[in-house]
Amino acid sequence: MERSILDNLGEEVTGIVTPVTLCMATTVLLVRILNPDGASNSNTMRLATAYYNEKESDSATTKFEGALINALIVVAAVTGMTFMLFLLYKYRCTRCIYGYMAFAGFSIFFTLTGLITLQLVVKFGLVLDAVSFTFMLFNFAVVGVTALFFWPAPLALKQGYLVVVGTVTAYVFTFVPEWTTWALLVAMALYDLWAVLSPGGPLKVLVELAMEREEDIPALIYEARPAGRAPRERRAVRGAGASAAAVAVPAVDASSVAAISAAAVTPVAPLGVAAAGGMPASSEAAAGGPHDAGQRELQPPPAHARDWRAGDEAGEAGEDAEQPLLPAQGSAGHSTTAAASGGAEGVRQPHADPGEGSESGLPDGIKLGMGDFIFYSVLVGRAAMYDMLTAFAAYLGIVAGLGATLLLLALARKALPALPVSIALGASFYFLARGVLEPFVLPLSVHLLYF
Amino acid sequence: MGDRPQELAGRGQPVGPALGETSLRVTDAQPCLETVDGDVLPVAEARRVCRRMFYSGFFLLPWMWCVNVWLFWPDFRHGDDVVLVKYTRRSAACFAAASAGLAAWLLTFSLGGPGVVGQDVYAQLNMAGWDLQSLGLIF
Repeated sequence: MERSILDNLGEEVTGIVTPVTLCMATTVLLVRILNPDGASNSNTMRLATAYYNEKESDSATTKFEGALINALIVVAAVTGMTFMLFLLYKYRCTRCIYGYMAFAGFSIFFTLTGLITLQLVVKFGLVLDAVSFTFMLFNFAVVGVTALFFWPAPLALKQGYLVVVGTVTAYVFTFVPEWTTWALLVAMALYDLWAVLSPGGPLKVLVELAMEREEDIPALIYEARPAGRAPRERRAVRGAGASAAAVAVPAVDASSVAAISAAAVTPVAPLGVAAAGGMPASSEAAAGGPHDAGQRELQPPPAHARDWRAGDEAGEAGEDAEQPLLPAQGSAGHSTTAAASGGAEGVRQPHADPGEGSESGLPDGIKLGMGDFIFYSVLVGRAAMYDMLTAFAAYLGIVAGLGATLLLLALARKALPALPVSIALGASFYFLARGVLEPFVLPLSVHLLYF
Repeated sequence: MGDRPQELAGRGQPVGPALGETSLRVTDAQPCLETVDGDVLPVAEARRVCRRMFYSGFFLLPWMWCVNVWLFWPDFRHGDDVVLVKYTRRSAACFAAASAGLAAWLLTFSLGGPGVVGQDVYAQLNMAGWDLQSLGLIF
C-alpha cells in the first residue's frame, strides 16, 4: 500500500506528540498522587532556591524578585554547564562525558525512580519486600544505562527509558516553589532562544561543531522513529561507527557525546535526614543535530523531500557546583543537582544523496531533546497542582506550541529551540485559565448560574 | 568471522532491499537485522553484543536477557545466524527461569506474609509498612 504524504507527516507528528504527552501525563499523575497539595520542598532543588526561599507570607513583590533572581542563577548555571559540555566535546573528552552521563543516568534510574516508586508502593500499600524491589530496581537501572549509552538496544526500550527520565526529573522539578517555577520556565525559554539562535550561543556552536564533524551531538535525544516496524528501505551502514549510532545516539559514535545531567542524589545521610534532597537534574541536551549527511533518503513523494530532524534542546537545571568538586555529603540533606545541557531543536538540511538511494533508509523522524520533555512536564505538573482545569489548558497550549514549532522547523530547516513557543503558550493558557476561565466556568458548571 | 569469507564469496553482490525482505546483503560485513526498524549491524558486532548481553545477565540482570531476545528478535524467530540464535535462545530460557523464580518468591511473600519469613523479618522487609518520613526516603 502506497504511503501518502499524510501518512508520513501524521506519523512523524504523532511520533513526537505521543511521548511528550505520555511524559506529561505521568508527571501529572505522580503529582496528583504523591503531592496533591502542591507542597514544595526547597531541599529538593537547592540550586533553584539558592537565593530566595519562598514562603507563603511574603509579599508579591518579594516573591517576584526572589523568583527572578533564582531563575537567573539557574540559567547562569545551565549556561556554564553547556559551555563546559561544549569544551569537553571540542577537545574530544569522550570518556569524561560518557562517564558522567552514565553516572547521572544511573542515579536517575536507581535513586530517583526508586524513591518515587517506593512512595507509590507505600501509598498504595503493595506488599513487596525490599530485596526483590532493590533487585528489580537494580535491573531496571543497569539495563537503562547500558541501553541508552553503551550498547545497542531496541528503540522502543530507549524511548521508554527516556520518557522515564523525563518524568522523574520533571517530578523532582515540581518541588521548586511556585513563583520560582514560573520564573524559571520563562527564563529557560528565553535562554533556549538565545542559546540556539544567536551566534554566540553555546548550543548553536555545539550544533555547528557536530555538523562539521558529521557526528551526533552529545545529548539525550528522543528519536521519534517508529520502532519495530519492517522498514521499507534499509538504513545502510555508514562506516563502522555510524551503524548503531542511529540506534544508540551516543553509543557507537566515538565522539558522540550525550550530555545528561543527572542529579547525584545523596543517599540517606547518616543522620537520617531527608535524603530526598537530591535533585535530579537531568538535563538532556539533545541536539538533534545533523546526522551523517547521506544517511537518510528522502521519501519518494517529492513533496516530502525533506528530512526532518528536530532536536530539541533545553537547558536544564544547572549543576550544583559542589557535585563535581566535593563529595557533597551534607548532613542537612544536601542535594546535588547536576543538570545541564540544552537541547537544540534542529532540522537538518536534507543532504540528499540521490546516488545512494538504494542504501539510504527512512528519514529518522523528529528528534526532541529531553530538556524540552522535562520543562513541558514541569509546566503541566505545576499547573496540575492548582487544578486539573489549568493542567489541561496548559497541556493544550504546549501541544499547540509544539505543533507551531514543528511548522517553523519545516520552514526554517535548521536547529530551532522548542521551548519558547510552547512555554509561552502553555504559561499564558495556564494564567488565562486560572484567572479568566475558571471563575466563569466553575460557577456555571456547579450552579448552572453565573453572576 | 573466520568462517565467513567463503560464504560471502558466493553472494557478494549487494542486493537492493525489496519490500518485506528482512536482511540486506552488503558486501563486506553481512549485517544482521535488529528488530528496531531494521537498523543494520555488522555480523561480528551483533554477535559480540549478543554474547555480552548474555553473559552480563548472570550478574543478577535477568532483564538484560529479555532485552537481548527483544533486540535480536528476528534472529530469535527465524534464525539466520547460528551464534545469535544460540545465545538468544539461551537468554530466553534463562529469563524464563529467572522470572518464574522471582514471581514465585513475590507471590509467596505477598500471600504468605509473616508466616513465611517470621514476623520480625517480615516487618523489616515489607515495604508497605515502612515509615518513609523517619527513614528519610521521601522528597
